[in-house]
Amino acid sequence: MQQTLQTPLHPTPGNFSGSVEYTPQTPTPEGPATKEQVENSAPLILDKVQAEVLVALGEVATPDEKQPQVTSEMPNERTQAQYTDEVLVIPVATVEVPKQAEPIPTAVEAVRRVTDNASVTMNERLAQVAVDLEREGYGLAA
Amino acid sequence: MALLRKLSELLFGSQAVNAFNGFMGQPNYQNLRYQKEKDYIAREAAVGARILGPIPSGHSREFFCLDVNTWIWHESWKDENGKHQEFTVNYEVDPTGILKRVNGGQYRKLEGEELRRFCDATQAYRSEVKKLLYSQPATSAI
Repeated sequence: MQQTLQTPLHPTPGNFSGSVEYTPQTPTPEGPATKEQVENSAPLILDKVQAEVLVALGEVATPDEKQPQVTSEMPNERTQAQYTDEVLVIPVATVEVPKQAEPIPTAVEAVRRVTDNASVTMNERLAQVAVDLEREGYGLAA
Repeated sequence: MALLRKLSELLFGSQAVNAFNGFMGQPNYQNLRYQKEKDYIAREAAVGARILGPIPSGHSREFFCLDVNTWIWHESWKDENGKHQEFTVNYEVDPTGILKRVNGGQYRKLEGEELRRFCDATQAYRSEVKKLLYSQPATSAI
């Protein structure tokens, strides 16, 4: 069975196996998250994900361990058939990002961009943690 | 307290102080750092959730950068029967491209519009997280 990546769907409750055509998202009326919402957020999946995917932060399975399946064939059996890969497509970002009709990135370019975005975020996160610890009197002791 | 800790570190070394604190039931530097990192990831997840568009009513969503090679999209809700539903999408950076895995299933390589959308989402994430969480200048970095 061929994947249907050209007709991505937007996930809604109970609609992960339907055939609703994707429509670009308009900006959310709620706007970006407020600082209060961010402050009050609680980790829901993090522990579970870490337990399943990682041994610890920063320790990811190597590509050899992943044994990625990059075939275009769909798996013959699905543990949760209603949540298939082809329908769980990331929606259009609603915040401002450069939209200049850029061509679809190559795999190499995508890896470079995603890695760059992750690295910058990780550095800022770790720097902020260090600042917090410094403020609390722990300094850079390790 | 902080002064006492610094003095102790000067006299006995930070490892000894950390070990002593751990023995006395006090959090040591590594535990604190790990906990703070988790807290910031949780805050980032709340910011990231908005990037993927409006959150359907009753849904709980998280989208975050776990580490330099791993991004997570998790969503949970109760269906019409009140039964808990959820999915977790892992995006992992591989030298050959971005690999996607839904609910622990097989890896599949992102392509086409979906690949572009994911790249855009990580770009927006980097920008929003910096703006909302890490906009204060850091005085030190790890």
